[in-house]
Amino acid sequence: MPKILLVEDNEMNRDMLSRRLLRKGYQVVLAVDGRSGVEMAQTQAPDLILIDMSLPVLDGWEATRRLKAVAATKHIPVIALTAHAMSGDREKALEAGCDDYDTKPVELLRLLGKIEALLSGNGGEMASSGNPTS
Amino acid sequence: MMQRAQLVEDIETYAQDIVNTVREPLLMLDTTLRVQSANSAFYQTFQVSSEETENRLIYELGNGQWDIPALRTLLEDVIPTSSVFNDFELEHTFPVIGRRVMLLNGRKLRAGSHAELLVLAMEDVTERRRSEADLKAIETYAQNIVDTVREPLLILDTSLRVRSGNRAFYQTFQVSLEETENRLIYELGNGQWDIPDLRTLLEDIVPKSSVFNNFELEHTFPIIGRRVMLLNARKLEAGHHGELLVLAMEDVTARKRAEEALLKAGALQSAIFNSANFSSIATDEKGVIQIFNVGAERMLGYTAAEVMNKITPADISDPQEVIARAKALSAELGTRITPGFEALVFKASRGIEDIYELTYIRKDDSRFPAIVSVTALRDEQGEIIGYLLIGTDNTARKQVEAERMLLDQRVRDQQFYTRSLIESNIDALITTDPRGIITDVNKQMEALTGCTRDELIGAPFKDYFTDPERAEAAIKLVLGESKVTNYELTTRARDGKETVVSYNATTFHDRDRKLQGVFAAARDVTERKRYEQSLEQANRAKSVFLANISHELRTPLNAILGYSEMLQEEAVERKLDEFGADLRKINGAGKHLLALINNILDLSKIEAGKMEMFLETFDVARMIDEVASTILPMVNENANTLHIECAPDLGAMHADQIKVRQGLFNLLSNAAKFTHDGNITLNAGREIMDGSEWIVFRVADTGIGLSPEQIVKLFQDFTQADPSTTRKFGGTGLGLALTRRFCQIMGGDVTVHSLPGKGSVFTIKLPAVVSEVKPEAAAEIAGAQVVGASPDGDGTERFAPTESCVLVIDDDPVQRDLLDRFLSKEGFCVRTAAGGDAGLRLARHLRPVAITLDVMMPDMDGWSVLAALKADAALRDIPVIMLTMVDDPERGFTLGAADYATKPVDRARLSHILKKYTCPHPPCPALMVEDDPATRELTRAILEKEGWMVSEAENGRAALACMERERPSLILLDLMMPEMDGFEFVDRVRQHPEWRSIPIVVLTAKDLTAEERRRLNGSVETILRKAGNSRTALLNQVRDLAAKCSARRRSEEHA
Repeated sequence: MPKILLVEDNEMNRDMLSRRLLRKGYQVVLAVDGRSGVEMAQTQAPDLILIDMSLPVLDGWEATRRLKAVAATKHIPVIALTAHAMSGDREKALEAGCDDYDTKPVELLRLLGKIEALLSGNGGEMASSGNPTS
Repeated sequence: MMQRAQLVEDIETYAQDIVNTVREPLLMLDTTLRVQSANSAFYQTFQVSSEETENRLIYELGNGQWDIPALRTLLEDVIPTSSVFNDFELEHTFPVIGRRVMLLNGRKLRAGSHAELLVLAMEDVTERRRSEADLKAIETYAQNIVDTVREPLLILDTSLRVRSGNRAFYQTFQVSLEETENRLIYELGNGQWDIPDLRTLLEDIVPKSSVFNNFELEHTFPIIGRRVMLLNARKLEAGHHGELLVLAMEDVTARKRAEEALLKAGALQSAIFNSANFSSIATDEKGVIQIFNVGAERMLGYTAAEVMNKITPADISDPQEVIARAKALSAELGTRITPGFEALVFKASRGIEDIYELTYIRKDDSRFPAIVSVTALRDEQGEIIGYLLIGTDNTARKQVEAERMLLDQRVRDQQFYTRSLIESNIDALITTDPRGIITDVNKQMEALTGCTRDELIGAPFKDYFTDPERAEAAIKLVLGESKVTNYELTTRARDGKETVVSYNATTFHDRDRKLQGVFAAARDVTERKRYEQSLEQANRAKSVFLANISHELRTPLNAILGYSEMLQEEAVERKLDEFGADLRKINGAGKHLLALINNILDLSKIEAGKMEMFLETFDVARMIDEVASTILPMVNENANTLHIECAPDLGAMHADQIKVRQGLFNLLSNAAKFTHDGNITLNAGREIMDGSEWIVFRVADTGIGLSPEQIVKLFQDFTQADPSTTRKFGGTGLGLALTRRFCQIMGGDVTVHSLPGKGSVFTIKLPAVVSEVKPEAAAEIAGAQVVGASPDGDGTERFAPTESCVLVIDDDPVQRDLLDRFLSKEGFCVRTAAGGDAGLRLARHLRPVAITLDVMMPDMDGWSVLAALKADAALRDIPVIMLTMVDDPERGFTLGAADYATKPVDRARLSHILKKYTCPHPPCPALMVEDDPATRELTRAILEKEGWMVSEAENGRAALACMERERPSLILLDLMMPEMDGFEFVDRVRQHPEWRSIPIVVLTAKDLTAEERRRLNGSVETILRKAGNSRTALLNQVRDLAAKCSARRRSEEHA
């Protein structure tokens, strides 16, 4: 079972998303801030990382930069999750090294699509674009 | 017997002749008073015919005019008792001849065998009686005159004894009646009349002539002193009195003296004296008038005789004035001056020249103002012997003065009023002459500039602004347009303080409509600017706030949606069906809230200029399928049927798929919402407009439709057609506004056609290939649309900005503004750009029907912009009107070419252009004007392949010669050629009515060298100098070209 590291400071969202992923059969490990996220990535060696951008201690962008700067973790696909939908968020996330990007509230099916695409190795960015349809 | 009868007849005829020749009217009456006959004098005098007369009773003649009571008395009472009567006087008003006095004489005749006849002779004595009455009146009058005449009169008999004298005589010469009557004239009284001159007159002159006039006699009388008397005499034949001599004496001593004094005074005075325009009144030293000239008579209405020796000038002057003058003079000269003549002449008597105003009173009591000049008359010893008062009638001058004063007052009132208006205005007001030199300002303008009125007046208007050129241009614009509104300028005061002002200005003219200058009112808009800026800031803050709040809202919403979905799944798994419906409601509400937040976020992104586009190429039909499957549940909800019609050549488009999808989804969900038991049709197709490809989506429904008022509001933010629809149908009220903005950002638009009750058709037009747009530009466009849609109240028109939009690219704000106003007035929607870059960017978004392009711009000149336009596949088919305007003198130039192609010639491009101009019956004649043989050869090959018949010319002059021979259907023109270049050629063609409509395709180099550019611009300048059009003519040309472009675009759309 693919192991997903979910880095999310909001407890409710962490709980909700982790439970939904578990229900879909993924193994989920959790981190509550950027620094612990980076540490967990090294210790837990997840198959994919879902990371919130506005995190305490170390924000998502910086955490991603660090993840992508280290040989041990740089191959792990990172999907940025953010409630920010202002212009530049997406670029900023991709610039930091994220492999894909999705906005909150999460549309589970879309997110699963992106996760699967990255896990199957043919993903990368542009599996789908970042704006939700209404 | 025969002889006798003949004789009688002869006698009667003779008698009748006599009767008829008698000039007095005669009537013959018989004893019954019937008229036997009348003579012609009778008929003439009484204007009656013989039919009305003969055999009639005398009283009934004609119109009964003889029925006179006195006549009845005569005929019925007097005649029967006597055979004759004389001079019976009859006064009667006859109907025809009026009142007459007639003298009747009657004789009874017995004429042989004739019965007794009464001959009535009438004599009209009316005139005679009138003369007699007059004579009687005259006699009485004469007696009265003699008695009342103020001149002394003497009546002498032939022995020179005095028969009588009048009262004046006795008074004047202070002699008694006893000393006078029946005495010899020389021995009267104290012998004072024994004067040698008088003896000469009476004894030598009078016997020889019956009359003598103005015999002047100077004599020292014992009692009254030396006098000059004027004697007039008449001999009268006085019936039983025998011959009498009337001697009238006039004492002219004073007049004589005055005249002598005047004579000494010279010719000028004498001219005045004889003039009817000056009243010259000479008095004796006491003020009694001695001379009263024609002018005085005319002005005052008195005859000289009426005033001379009788009154003083004070008697004919306004007494109040005389009193006032006396008082004033008394005060001035410190001596008591009596009100009266003295007051009029006192100064003159002291040798002071005196001229003053005086109101004279005429004989008829009317008054007139006079200017009176008073001079004392002196004898040889310098003694005052009288005064001369020369007066001129001052009425006219007084009137003129009064009118002028009134007028002056009115002018002052008007000036005061105008000034008050100017000064009380809150705007800074300024007038300039046509050269822009300040002619007037108000206080506000002084405050604005920190300069005084005196400093400002006479200075150039432009000197007080941060941008003098723009200020000067403003004046020129006003002169050209006669009116300018909301022209913004920044004033710079002496202390450096800058104020942003908005100018409204008009020209003003004098009465003869001659241009006087410019009247400009400047309103300080610093506050407004500041307000606008703070508004903008507030708006941005609002957008940021909305973005943040959206984010904050999303986090809890994330949980709501996530948990509710999770619970739904669990409910299904655990078969807890009773929870399913409620969970779906929670999830549905959460999704609606999310949509709302997303829309708000999108709008704020657009407003903040942060909306991004993610352009991708996607298959349109597939996207439509996806949208359709999403919308289907909503369509079914109101029992509607959805029809999808995709054109077979629909293919792919390059755009922001999500935004396109969102737009379609929005239109379809609206259609589903507002239609019941109806049809909803989505039609998609590919269309070529203005040379570029467009994807057009049409969503038609059979729903409730929209009124024109609703349509106007439709695309505004947070507005639904009817506010109540929000409650009834739900929705955010942002959907259409967002859709529209999305489309505009992609270079397209949404339009609507709708009829209430019939349904609506919403159309989305998007470029098949959307080009990248900077977010800021998108915000600009969005802003412009909002502004454009509301204030004019013609929002519906603005829904289709691409339909007849003209883009004006010009660096000069004045020309830009001029073209904008002019073309807007002609019904075009006009957008302007101040430079090449902005122009190109706007051209991409707007896809205007035409572009007007200034040839000569400083940064990126027209040729470069043109080349860039022609190099861009999306823009190259937009017709470009190259033009340049020079504002002084008012001239301009347009290279009104139909099309441009860049060199080296691109075969496909040229073919495309040529297709537009194909004539109805090919092969069509085309003329190629090009100096380079290689280009000619290449172009000819292309043309011939397209089925054109080509003739060539190596310069403009040769081309004109060629056109004389054959009129081409199309001209391909190089601009830079020897002898006659392209500009001059175009100008010549334009002047030729038959050639004017020939389309000209201009060939221009893709990359111009500086030298080429210089030459091109030089040619434009030459054309301007040589044959510049008037501004009006130029604008009309531009309008016609733009209209042609617009028409072409429409016909292409319909094709």
